[in-house]
Amino acid sequence: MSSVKLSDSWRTTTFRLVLLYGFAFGLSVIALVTLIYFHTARYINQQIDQVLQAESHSCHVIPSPEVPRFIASALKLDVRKIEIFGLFSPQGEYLSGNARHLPGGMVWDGRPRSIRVDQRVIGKAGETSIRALVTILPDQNILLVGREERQIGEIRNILLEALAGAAGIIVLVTLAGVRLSVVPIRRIREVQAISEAVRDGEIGRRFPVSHRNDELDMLARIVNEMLDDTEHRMRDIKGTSDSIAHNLRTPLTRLRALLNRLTHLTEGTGANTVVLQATEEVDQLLSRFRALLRVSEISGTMRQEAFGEVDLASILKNIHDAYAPVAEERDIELALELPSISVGKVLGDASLLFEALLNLVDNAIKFAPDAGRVCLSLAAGPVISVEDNGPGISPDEIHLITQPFYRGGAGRSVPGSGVGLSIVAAIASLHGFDFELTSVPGRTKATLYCFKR
Amino acid sequence: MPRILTIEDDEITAREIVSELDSHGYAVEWVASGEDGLCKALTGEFDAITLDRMLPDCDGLNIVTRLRQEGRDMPILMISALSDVDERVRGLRAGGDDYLTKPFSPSEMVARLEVLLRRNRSVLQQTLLKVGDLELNLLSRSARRAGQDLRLSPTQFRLLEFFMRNAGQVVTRSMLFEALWGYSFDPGTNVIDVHVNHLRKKVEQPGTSPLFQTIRGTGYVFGQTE
Repeated sequence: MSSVKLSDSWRTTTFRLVLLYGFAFGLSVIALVTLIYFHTARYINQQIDQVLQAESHSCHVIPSPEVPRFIASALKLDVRKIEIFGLFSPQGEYLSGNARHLPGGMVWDGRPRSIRVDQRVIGKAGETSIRALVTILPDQNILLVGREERQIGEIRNILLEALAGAAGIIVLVTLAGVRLSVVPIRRIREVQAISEAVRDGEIGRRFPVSHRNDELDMLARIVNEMLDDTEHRMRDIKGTSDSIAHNLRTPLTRLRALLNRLTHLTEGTGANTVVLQATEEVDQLLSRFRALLRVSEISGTMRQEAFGEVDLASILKNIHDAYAPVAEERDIELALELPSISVGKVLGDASLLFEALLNLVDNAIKFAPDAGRVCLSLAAGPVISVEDNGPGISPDEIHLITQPFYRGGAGRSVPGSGVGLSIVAAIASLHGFDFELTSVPGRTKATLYCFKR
Repeated sequence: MPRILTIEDDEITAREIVSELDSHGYAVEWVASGEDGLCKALTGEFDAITLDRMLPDCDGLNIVTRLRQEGRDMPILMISALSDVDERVRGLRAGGDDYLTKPFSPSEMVARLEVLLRRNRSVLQQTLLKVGDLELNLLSRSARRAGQDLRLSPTQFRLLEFFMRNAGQVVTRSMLFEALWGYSFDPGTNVIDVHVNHLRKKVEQPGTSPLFQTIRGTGYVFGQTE
């Protein structure tokens, strides 16, 4: 069994669903994490705002001289070093706290805001994001109360890490899903291969059924039962056909033998001619009976097991060798056109392919006019064609011509078993080859495409 | 006188086989069951066997296989109502020497049996075949009749070789077809007759005696007529 390509997987419903679910799941996780982040950030901001407003309120209600001490005390208790306090004179001069300057962009309305500030404001290097408010105390001094938003940044980083982890998990789960989707594909490929084998005559092949008992197994069981039934029926038909053959052939053999004895007994008498005529009639009957059985034998056969490599060029040479003198009798040119380079060998039954071509060439010679032309050719493909310049087959009849004993148009006056083309069609079908008959007045072409459809 | 064993369950067919072989000078013994047939065949008293493929008590294939396993190498002509090519291949693979499908013409049966018997006596090693004043040199691939070289095509050469190897015996059209192209089936056409006629014209030049005799409904006998 060949490996399954990704491009093949893409066509399967499972594969597409897995990808779709993977994509949807990824989006949901991102949306959820984002939501958690914003809610958490808002909650933390609310908490910070409450603290800032409480500290601002304390500074409003305590006596003005106590404010620097309050600030110092608050800063002392801030072990995480995230608090920002700054007390400035109405002219903006520094009075107390860890903030040496008022950050730009603040509105002095006592409402907390998030801003990015130069950390030099609080004696550190770099930039940071703070939540702060600026208010004017009863003594007209300006109070800055703030807190670094480091917590929110930390939470964001945690959530981003979680998101990255989730993305990794999603990718792994999706890949696992894709891998799982390949399993049914492989099984469908097996089913396809077995179906082709059954179509080509290996009626004994069955679909694999796994222990999973999934929908494919259920389907395989149904088809296997159907194939069992078909095989059984085919064996019945074959058995009946063998039985008919046996039961008819034996009496016909006896009849032929009795006529043979009668021929000897009547030798030299007038009855001998009649007996010989009767023998010829029986022979004709036997010949048609044999030909008809031949079509059914080929159609019902399971001979592919016995197929081997067949050199088509060699068969064509033999046919040409056999029929060139027959064509010559009527001044018909029997041309043989073989490719200059080998077209390779085909898998088939040499004896049956010989029989098919013999029937085609025999027909072509029968229908070609005296001094006409029949061309037997082999081309790359490989494709074999037999062309004659006989009267042609009418379009109404061309699809009927492969039916046993159909003798339309010009065929009525030409001797033959009437099953030649049926045999060709049966042999082509057995090999999985296409057989095509095309005709216009003055040109009939039979083509055998010697490759599997 | 060659001794032939006929194993055939159908009495009328058997009687005809016996009568036909008898008229050709063979001593024929007939048995109707496969088991008796096998016992008789194992005695080694027979030069050839005609064997029905489908017998009521056993499969003809088993008899062939058993005989070959026991080292009996007499020619066996299998006769069967099963004409499927697979059956033929199976019969030949089991060890049968030739396969004839019912309904058959008795003369075809005798012709094939004679070829098998003759093959056993073997003229295969000969490189120069002679029939009357006709000579066929298999090494130089040349043919001469009454001192005159005959110009034969490769197919005509093979055809003449088969006729000369089986001179004096009836050879059927399907036997000739098989000898020329290696495929065993009745083409149901005049292909063989045309080839024989062309060969005949080259071999039977004015002033020479006829060598080909047509047997109506069967085939040909090659050789000098008395």
